[in-house]
Amino acid sequence: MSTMTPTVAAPDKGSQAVLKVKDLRVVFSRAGAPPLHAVNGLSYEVRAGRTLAIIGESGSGKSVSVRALMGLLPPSANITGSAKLFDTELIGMNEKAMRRIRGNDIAMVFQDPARSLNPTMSVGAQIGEAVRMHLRIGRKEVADRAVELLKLVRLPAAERRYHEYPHQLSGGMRQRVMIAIALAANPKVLIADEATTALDVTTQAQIMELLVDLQDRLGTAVVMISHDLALAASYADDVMVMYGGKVVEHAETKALFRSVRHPYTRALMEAIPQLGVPSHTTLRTISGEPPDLSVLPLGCAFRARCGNASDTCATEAPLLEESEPGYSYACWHPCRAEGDTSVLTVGASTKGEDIL
Amino acid sequence: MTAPTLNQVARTGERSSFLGRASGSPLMRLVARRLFVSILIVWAISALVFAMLAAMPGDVARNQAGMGASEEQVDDLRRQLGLDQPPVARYFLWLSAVFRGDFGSSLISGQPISTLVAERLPVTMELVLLAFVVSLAIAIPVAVLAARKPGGIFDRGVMVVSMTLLAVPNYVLALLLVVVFAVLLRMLPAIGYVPLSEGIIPNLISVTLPVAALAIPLAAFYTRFLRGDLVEVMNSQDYVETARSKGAGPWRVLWQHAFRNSSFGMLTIVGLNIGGLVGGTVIIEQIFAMPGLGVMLLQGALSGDSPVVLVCVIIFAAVAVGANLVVDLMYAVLDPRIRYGSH
Repeated sequence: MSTMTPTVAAPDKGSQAVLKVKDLRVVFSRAGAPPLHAVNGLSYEVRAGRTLAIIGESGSGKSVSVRALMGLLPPSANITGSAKLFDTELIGMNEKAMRRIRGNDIAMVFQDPARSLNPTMSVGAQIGEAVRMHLRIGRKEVADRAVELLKLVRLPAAERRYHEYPHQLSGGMRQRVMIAIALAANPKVLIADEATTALDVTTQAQIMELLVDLQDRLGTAVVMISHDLALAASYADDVMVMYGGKVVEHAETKALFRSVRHPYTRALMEAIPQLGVPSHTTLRTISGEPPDLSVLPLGCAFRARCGNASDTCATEAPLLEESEPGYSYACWHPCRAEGDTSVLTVGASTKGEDIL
Repeated sequence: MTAPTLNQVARTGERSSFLGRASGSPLMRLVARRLFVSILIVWAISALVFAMLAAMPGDVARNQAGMGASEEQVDDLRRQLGLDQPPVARYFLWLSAVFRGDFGSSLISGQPISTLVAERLPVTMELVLLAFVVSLAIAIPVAVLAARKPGGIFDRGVMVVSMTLLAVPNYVLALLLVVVFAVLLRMLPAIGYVPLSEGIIPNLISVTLPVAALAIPLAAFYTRFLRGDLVEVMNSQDYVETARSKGAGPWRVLWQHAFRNSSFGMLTIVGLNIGGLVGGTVIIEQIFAMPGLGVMLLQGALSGDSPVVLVCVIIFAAVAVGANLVVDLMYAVLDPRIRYGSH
């Protein structure tokens, strides 16, 4: 990897955050409609080798927030705040400099591997493209690197698959190819945007195990975007729950599942189907709809759907505050911290094992 | 008379299936099958056109014999031309002659039609090929440039100009071109064709205006189609975002990813338009006095020279069918999903 050309020098390794996001806001201006406040003040850090899960339902701003970091949003998006990759500010960076970051320092794996690969290009050509974008190496070396990446993501018969086209691969294999593309230049941060949502459960587990394993070997910081709290429980070090473009709860995975405080997070947990519950038991759902982001409510965005809501919630928005070191939530009437753990039996896990 | 003809057809079929067996590759089998179907289509067109010409009013023998001819002379001539036979018999007579390489003779000039076609087909083919190449050579770069920034100055300019050109019929455009470039500016000749044998430059100069008249409306149409398709692909396809997330620049995303995929839709449109392009030469050749097949067809039709009309229409049909065959095969070559067949 001596040929690598990192655009951002990694200072001393260790506990320093690879990615530091501070008060990130994204507002979409729309013709003939009020502006859409997609992300409203998002702050987090991800350290090397760690995984942060951003959890939320559709429209909670989770996908928009990571696309903002990579400069992948349309020009109608007005992005403010700060996002630092080590010491490099990403927000407001010009497109040309951003292109050297994309795929090189920050790479992304998308939701639907059937659609995110180009159907007219061979697997090898698509990986090779990602390699060539950032590494100044010859044609032969590019091909070698592509095969090497296919082996890294454990695609069987890598040399043969190199020449095949996406339609000849299964969903899981395609997602492995996407991961190979993302890892082409050894990124510091890997963003997995619902990377396993379109896959069946078995394949989903295989892909997640692969990501965890690769992360251990490469020391990549992973930001995992999902609507699936159970998946986060199994694979993330930290969990950040978003609602209406804001963080409502942010903690280490173990701590969060031990003592969930925000009613929204709790409701998400209760919506997870569980073994041991008699079949045909109706799952708890969250009634109501996500907030309209063009008119941000004065108080708490979740209050209309919240069982704990009071008059305060309608007038004053709760701030995200640390209740103890490393644990923060934004709620006037949080759930009790300890004791009531009836909802906390979530499926198999690796990282959050002891608590479940 | 019927037997050898059917034999001929049967043998054509045999040959194609033999071709299919000889080469195991699916592509060759596809080529053989499509070629066989194309030959059938052209054959069916010949029968249809023959029937339409036979149903046309007017007595060719009487016209040929002249005003002062006696009934006997007219009858003689009718027998001579084979017009005393019923149309079905005449068709198979004609078809068997065609398989012997005899396309008949013009009723007006008496010249063999094969000689006339050999003189005129190159002129028409030159016009069609040049118009085809020029229209794509304009449309592809312009569409890609316009799609780079949809709604930008260049894009909006292209949209206005192409809409205007699309609204103008090609014969009106031809006359405008003549007025501007031949009459006012005196840059190019208004009429006449210089054969390639007299030098490539004089030849190209002589066909510039007719080619422009054929190519410009077509280029406008292709530009609009391709630009729209590119913008659609750029906005809606996930693999475009993948390419961008790799760090690919806007031009690379456009050419390598969007254009590659838009080219399939483009191919369909181009194939569908070739028939129209060939048909367009009839008017354009007439306006610019090009000694091509289109003029031959027009004159034949006006003078009731049915053997000439028949052959001309078949050639036009064969070109259109052949172009669509090539387009279909291009899909198979270009699109990996068709190339390998689905799982």
